[in-house]
Amino acid sequence: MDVSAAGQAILLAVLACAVWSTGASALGVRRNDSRLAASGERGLFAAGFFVLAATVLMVYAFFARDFSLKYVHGYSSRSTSPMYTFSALWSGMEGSLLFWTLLTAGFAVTAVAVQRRRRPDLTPVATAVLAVILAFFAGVLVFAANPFEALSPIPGDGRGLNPLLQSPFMAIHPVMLYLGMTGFAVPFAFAVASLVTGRLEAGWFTSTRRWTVLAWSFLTVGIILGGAWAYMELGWGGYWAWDPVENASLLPWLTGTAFLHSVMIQERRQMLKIWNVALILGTYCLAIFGTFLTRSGLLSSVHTFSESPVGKMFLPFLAVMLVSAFGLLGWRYEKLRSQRHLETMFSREAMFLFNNLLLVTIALTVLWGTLYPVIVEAVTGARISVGPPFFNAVVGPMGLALLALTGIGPLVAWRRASWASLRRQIFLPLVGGFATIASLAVSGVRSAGAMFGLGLTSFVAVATIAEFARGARAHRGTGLLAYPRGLVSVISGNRRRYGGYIVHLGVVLICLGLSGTAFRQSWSGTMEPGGTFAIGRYDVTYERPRVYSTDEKAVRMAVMNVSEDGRQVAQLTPQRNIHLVQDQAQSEIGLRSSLTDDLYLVLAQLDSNGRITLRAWVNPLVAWIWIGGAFMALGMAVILSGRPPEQAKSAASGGKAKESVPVPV
Amino acid sequence: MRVWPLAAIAVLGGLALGMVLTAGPNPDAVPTSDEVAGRMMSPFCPGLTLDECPSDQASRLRAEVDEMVRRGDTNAEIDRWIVDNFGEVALARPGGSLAWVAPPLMVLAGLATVLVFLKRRSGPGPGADPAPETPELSPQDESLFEADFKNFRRGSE
Repeated sequence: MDVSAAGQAILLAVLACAVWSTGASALGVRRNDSRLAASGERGLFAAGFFVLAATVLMVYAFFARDFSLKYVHGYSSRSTSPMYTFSALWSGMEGSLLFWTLLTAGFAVTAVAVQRRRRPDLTPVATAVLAVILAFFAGVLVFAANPFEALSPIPGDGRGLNPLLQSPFMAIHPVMLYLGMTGFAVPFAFAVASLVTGRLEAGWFTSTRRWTVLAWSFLTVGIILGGAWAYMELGWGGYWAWDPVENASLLPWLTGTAFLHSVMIQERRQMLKIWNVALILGTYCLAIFGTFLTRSGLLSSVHTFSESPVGKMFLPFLAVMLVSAFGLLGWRYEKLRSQRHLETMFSREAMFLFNNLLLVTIALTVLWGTLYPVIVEAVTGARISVGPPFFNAVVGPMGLALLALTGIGPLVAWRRASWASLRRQIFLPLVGGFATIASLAVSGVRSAGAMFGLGLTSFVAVATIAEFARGARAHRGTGLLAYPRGLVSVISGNRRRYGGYIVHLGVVLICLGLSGTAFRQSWSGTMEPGGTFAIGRYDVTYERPRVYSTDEKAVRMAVMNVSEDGRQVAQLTPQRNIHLVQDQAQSEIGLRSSLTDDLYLVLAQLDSNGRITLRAWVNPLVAWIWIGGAFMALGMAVILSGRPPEQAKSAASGGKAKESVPVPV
Repeated sequence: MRVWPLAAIAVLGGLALGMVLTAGPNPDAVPTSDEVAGRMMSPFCPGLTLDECPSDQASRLRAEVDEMVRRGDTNAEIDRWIVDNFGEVALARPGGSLAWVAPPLMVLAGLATVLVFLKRRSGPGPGADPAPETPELSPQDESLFEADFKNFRRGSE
């Protein structure tokens, strides 16, 4: 079978179906013709089917070691393990775009299939929007980044997967990230549909809220796994470098987070309608912008795919998306204007406004810092960099303010809070915060930033835990297990709220982990076997070198004994390996992780005499970042496990709910 | 609330904060090697600082930085050395004030907008809520409610 020709034919079929779906759906809406609209839906389903077929064909080509395909040759070899043969699908630009298209199609087909009976008023327009997005990606695959491009003559073996990408984290991190980014297409499409149809009152977001939470959850997990990958694989002792590609994933996360908070104001008070639509439109545009950024070669970065015509296709698409989405918003401006008013600056609504202000400003700052070098180069021709010192200095304080709001926000009542009630509730968290600062001062910590950050973290932790305690007390029964039962009952009774608080607890733990940076210690040097050095509470001895080869790589390893108070606690083997197929050097770190700190060893060099050049770090509290990530995932699972929001609430908020009863997913 | 004074405060505050941030480390102080490696982009790893770059050449460059620090070179001298040898692109802290002024300006402009929004939208005004969501209780209802609530609390204790 000519896989290349078959694959290209299938991609053309995707494009044709998506274009048909766009046209039929749009015409169906315009002529109010339900048959045309149904045909548009079928076109979308067909496009989804063909994308799936193309992906299956590509996976088949990988496992069949069909090196007649340039992409298969470039990202796998006969010795690539099955897991990485599969993950090679999204390891290069063309394949990752195919995978992105598959996920978009998956979300689009599921959303349309579920919503067409529940929201027949919005679904045809949403179908057209999703079909346009699919058509664009299919167009990119056909015209600019064809994963089925043939190679001639056919080589005997492939080039293999970049060793940096051969990590379990890399197998799962992009999947999560892409699920997050593509998932925002659904609320985007329904937001556009609500603008086009003018059905702005009956909660378009209620219909798609679970999709938004789901997309946001995937994105969150994806970003944290990306940090874990950088930490475990890149060997620079850190997990976040403010790299443009990392920033690209953070941008939609920030605006998505803002949306998930501000949408609550709209549900409760029917305010901020314009703002919420703008946030969700912006979030998906930022997701597309991130894809553009990582694939255009516009910015140099460790992750950036090589330069290609893909960028030239993305930019006009992005421009059209922005202009049409925000143009529609402008067109419907008057209809969206709220008649309601905030009653006081001291209310939950106002807290959410400040939260949104911070999240959006952080997003704009990150965007600004990421694009600043491009702007400067375009204007003056000079090449400059904007690196971690900029982002840490500027985003850090805003992040702390946001953290403070995470603690204060839930204590402030809706509409009009009372000082007396706030004073009562804030007392314990304040005690927690100041106690932490005092104990840090007593134990000899002198870094003002670390003391403030950790004090604030404790404040938020106590405030959040107190929310659970209050809830458990109110729901407690009698008997020995009254409180735990009360806790379970309060969480399961209001999963959205308490799931949110579990997410907040995760954020607190992540902040605890981040604050460890202030106490980071490092060591670097050269030593012979038998040499030793001390770092933090550890004594590290270089026992001996070990060198051997496998089919894949030449391994150069330093066997390091780690002891604490004279007692050996671990043996670490940092490696500097040469991957034979790619002729590429790569470090494998030596890591001893505990809840208090990580000992992190990187072998920079091992010469023929057995001398090593080593870098070592003690990174306090890093494990809490991953634990916090797990808490966030748990909180999101709790939110998603809840019952869909009651129709009554949406109906009450909509006023005209009879026209189109929003039934959430 | 008047918009213009608030906007002026936001702009001036943003400029001032930006200027403070632009200044960076004291030019006459001697930094630590880690400080230098953290604010220098590695010429060998795109997107990473020298501190983060795991390559062999980066190790050698870090050794050079160590030597300069040991010699007692100041921040200004080391930054000049970085620019002379690797160009301005190797400074992870952008030099121009514009980069630094924009974020505080955005925060303060945003804050001013939120405050104006809150002020304009707070209190009854044209287009206020036709009816509050929770209507005020009459004194009779209120006393009934209080009595009920007391009973409820007694029951739950």
